[in-house]
Amino acid sequence: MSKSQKAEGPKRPKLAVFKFASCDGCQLSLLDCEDELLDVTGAVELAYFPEATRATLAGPYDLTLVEGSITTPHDAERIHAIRRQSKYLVTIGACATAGGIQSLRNYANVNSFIDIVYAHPEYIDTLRTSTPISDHVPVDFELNGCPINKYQLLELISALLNGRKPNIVPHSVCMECKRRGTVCVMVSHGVACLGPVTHAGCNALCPSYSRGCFGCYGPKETPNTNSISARFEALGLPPEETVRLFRSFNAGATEFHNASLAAEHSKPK
Amino acid sequence: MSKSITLSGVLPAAGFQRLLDAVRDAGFRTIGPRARNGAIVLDELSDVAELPVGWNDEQVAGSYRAAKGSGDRLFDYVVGPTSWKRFLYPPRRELWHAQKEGQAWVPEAPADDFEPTAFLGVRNCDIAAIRTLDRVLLDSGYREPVYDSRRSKIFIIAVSCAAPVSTCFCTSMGGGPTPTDGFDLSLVELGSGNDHRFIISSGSERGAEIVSALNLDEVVERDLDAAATQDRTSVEKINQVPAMANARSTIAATMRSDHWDEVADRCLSCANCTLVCPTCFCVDIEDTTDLSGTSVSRHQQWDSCFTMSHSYLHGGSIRKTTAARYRQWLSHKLGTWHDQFGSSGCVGCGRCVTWCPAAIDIRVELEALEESLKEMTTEEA
Ligand code: SF4
Ligand code: SF4
Ligand code: SF4
Repeated sequence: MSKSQKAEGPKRPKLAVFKFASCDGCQLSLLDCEDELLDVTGAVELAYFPEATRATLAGPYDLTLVEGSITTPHDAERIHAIRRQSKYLVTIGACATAGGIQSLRNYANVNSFIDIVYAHPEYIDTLRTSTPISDHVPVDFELNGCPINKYQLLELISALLNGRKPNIVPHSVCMECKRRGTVCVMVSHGVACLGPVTHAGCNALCPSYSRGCFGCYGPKETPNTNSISARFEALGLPPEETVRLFRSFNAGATEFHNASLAAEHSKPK
Repeated sequence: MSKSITLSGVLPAAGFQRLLDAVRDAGFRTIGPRARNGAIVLDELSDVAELPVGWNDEQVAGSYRAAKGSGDRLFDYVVGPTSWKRFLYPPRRELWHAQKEGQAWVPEAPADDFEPTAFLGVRNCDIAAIRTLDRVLLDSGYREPVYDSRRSKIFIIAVSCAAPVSTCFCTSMGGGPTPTDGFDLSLVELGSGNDHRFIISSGSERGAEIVSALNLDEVVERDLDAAATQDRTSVEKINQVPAMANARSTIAATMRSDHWDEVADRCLSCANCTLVCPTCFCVDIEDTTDLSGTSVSRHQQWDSCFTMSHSYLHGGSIRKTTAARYRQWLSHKLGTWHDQFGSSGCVGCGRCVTWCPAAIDIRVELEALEESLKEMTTEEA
């Protein structure tokens, strides 16, 4: 889009995208909105989005999307500066919302990894844990998923632009299975599936390919992890597999964290 | 649909395609049972070979297994995860959209493009479920327009159940394995191999008209005897749930029972039970805008009393606990449905039992409530 085009029309809200410890997949969902990208740039000004444009505008920003978790002392400072510059701060993805796969470090001693991975461990300044953004600053909305669903991102942006509530609901993945007519993999094949305790948003992608849900979208509202773990056990899943299921992209989400510990303690049998 | 049921004749199984063709020639597409991903679902079909020939199913609370056996029977399984609600009252549809043109909003409601459709292989519990939905969506003071229009476009080909499973309990809800009315045509599948045949009855004029062109064989004593034996065998196989007779009063008297908390320990509030139930009708309304705010739309989609948003009133959800939500589902389904719509909301199809990932069985929970009521009354005495 040319400069002159951008300058026309009413003042557009400023959008900023900041990255912390993450893989960039979530912010790339925005660029992945191929058909809608022009509408997005027509509706908001990309004030800070290094993956998309080198042009940067100073804050404050109307909408700030934050990807990634807090893993270094520097980032723990930086997020406060970003919060101060942001009217709405929305976290995108499992890292920013729950600590991400890197929150597996919370279950071990991070220094033992550093020694293995880096030739000069003394240059590494890192925190013992990977934590979600909401542990550090107030967050206005959390968009779940690993990665997020681009349609949910568009829905969120258009809801904010139009001053309405986003249609992003915290019920189970099962409701998405049932609406789309997917045959339940747990009931019909005995496959362990996290769908009944997982936040909807992916349109029940894995069950539609005959796989159990991996819990990418994190805990749903009122998740009954005790019951699902008991069910997995009844289906013959060894407790260490249950630990693994709960301990992936959303290992740091409180309910999944607690469920993984409970399954770990049930291990000796 | 006329009330009088006529025995139309006997169709050899080898001629089943002729029935499908006659229905098509009368202007209906057909939706019926099809095997997909190890389950028998409902989907479009036009050829007899697309039916789950030789398939059988096993169902218990929380588990469903279906597989092709060595037989050649067409309907030796019962209801699967799909119900006819999917087609009459779809999971999601647009109610209207509007476009901003200048300063004016131009609204438009999409036309419903549902074609005249034959439902093939409708079980008696599902006929009862459609009748239950009629009472809710047509006869309770408000007519749901899309349901109304789709309902007038369907042609029901029922089939008797010859292979009930452990989750079936229609006989405790006023039904049974053999449809007695509410259909255009009804089939009883008899025998197999060279002796494989269908007794066809018609329950409407258009049903009678369609079969009149099929040159059916005459129904003889032997066929009627075989049908009666098959019905009796099925009735014997279907689980009786005596607690259902008093469900309404049991639930009304146990609203404060501890048992609701006990169920909530197991219930996942996942909503599967309500979405597989052929009579649950709750929907949610979703309003969306595009980015520019010049185009808006409103959708209706299946909702469930197991979500927090279902009971959201100003300030928050009023059924925050799973116990409250499970109690809402069971007490409406088996209790207050009577007050609201003049019947139970349950037809005994067993879908909620089979498709509950936590293997919760409403029959068992009702019995437990009945027990807890006895305890409550002895404590009081
Ligand atoms: S496949 Fe998984 S997500 Fe889908 S209904 Fe079954 S348990 Fe729920
Ligand atoms: S409550 Fe269960 S058994 Fe009764 S009609 Fe609904 S799904 Fe079938
Ligand atoms: S009763 Fe079963 S299917 Fe229904 S919400 Fe509870 S766990 Fe899910």
